[in-house]
Amino acid sequence: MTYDVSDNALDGEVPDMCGSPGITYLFLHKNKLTGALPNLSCMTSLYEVDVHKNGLTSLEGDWLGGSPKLQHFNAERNQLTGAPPTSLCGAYSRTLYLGHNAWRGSIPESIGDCPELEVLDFTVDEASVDDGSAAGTMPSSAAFAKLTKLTTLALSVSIFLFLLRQLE
Amino acid sequence: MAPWQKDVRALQALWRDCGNTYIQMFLAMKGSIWTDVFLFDGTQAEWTALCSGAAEIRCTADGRVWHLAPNADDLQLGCPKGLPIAPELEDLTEVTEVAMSGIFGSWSRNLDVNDVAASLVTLQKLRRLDLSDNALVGELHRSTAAAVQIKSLFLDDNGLTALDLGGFVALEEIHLADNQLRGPLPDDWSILKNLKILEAPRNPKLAASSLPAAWFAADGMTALETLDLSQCSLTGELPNGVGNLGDLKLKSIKLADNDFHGPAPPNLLTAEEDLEHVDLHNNNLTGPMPVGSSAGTALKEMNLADNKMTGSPPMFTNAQVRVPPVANSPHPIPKCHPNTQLPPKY
Repeated sequence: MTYDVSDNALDGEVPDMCGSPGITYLFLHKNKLTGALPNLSCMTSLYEVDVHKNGLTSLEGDWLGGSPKLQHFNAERNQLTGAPPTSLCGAYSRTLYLGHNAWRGSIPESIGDCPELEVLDFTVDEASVDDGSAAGTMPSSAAFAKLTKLTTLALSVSIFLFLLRQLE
Repeated sequence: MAPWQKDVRALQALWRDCGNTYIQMFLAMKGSIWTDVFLFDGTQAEWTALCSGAAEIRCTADGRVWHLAPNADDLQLGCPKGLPIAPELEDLTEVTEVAMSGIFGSWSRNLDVNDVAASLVTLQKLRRLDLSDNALVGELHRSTAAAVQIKSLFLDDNGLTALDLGGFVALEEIHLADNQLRGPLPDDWSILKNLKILEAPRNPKLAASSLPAAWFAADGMTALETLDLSQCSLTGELPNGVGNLGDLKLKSIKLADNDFHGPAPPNLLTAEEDLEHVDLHNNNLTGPMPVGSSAGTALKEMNLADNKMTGSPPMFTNAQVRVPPVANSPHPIPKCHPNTQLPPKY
């Protein structure tokens, strides 16, 4: 089932969607939704989830990596904070957009376990670079080395400037 | 003249009215069966042999045509404008199906739809008429037949501006995509009590027309299952009936890319349990999202994107109805043992 309510003026929290486990495309992007994106591990048919450009503050549970069919996940331009989930992507993940949020922590090393990943966008906004809160958002080069299909990597130029500043 | 001879004469009238030397060369190059039909001058047995072995024309044992479906690759017709085309077609009294899609448009653009259709719609055994993709124009006039028996009417990809469907009492589906229909949408289409499918997307000149509430009233199109009027520049509020389905059995509502405003019917997603497709994206709908369903839902597509609706995303709260049971037969099919294979034959 395609479930698309994107680009409206929806507000409040995202309800429990587990009553519709057959959803394949879940599009909630461009609204004013707040709070946590619920744990969607109950929805085992998911192929694509787009919640970008809302006011979400967290991703509930560590389900992304274990979602059996999920290929595309976009949660950029929210107010996600704290550490990113330890398991962000799985065997079929192809695109992962998590940038323009307020993360306080690293991209997990498990990113290296996503052999099909083509796009990883973790763009950090200028502000959080400047105040130092985005420290350590780079996984090890060993993890990156395993992402053989990666064609787009966006971490923002600023972060490299920040890292350089740390070295000085 | 025997009925089968009248059928031959009717088909040959198409050639008389719409044939020309260029088309003759085209048909000859293609090795088209229509050369044989148009030049036929033989016995009933020869005619029956010709028309019973072909996909594009079929006839009964006594040579009566019941299926007329020239392939656009095998037949093109160039008809003069302003004259009825082959009025003898009304002699095809056994014909149940006429599919002439893409036959007229290349050699004769902007033919008046009545000149092509008038003698066909009155055929009392005709159930399916396909005149799509023929560059036909004008307004389909009210048929001279009191009761048109056509169930399926395909007129997509033409330039029609209006249709008087009075008399189309048997109509079950009508396809009008990509025409030039002018508004307002006629209230009196609500007489189409047997209509299950109304598909007319991409008729941008319906501009500023609204969706007639009469269609959805208790005495309206009560059999309607599929409604597609996407990309038609429609405006106004959605009639209550779209959501307050009453007797309607809608499975598919597609009204995307219009200019509808006001609220979506609150029970849009719940009123009809067979609902499979709802696409209202890219309108100007306001007010809260319709409520989800707590019963089972057959929905495959719910697209309410790109509006100005508020509230919470619709919620569906009955998991067990939609999770298919795991196949676990108490009587598993025994696997073939290799020894039970039959020996190879020599």
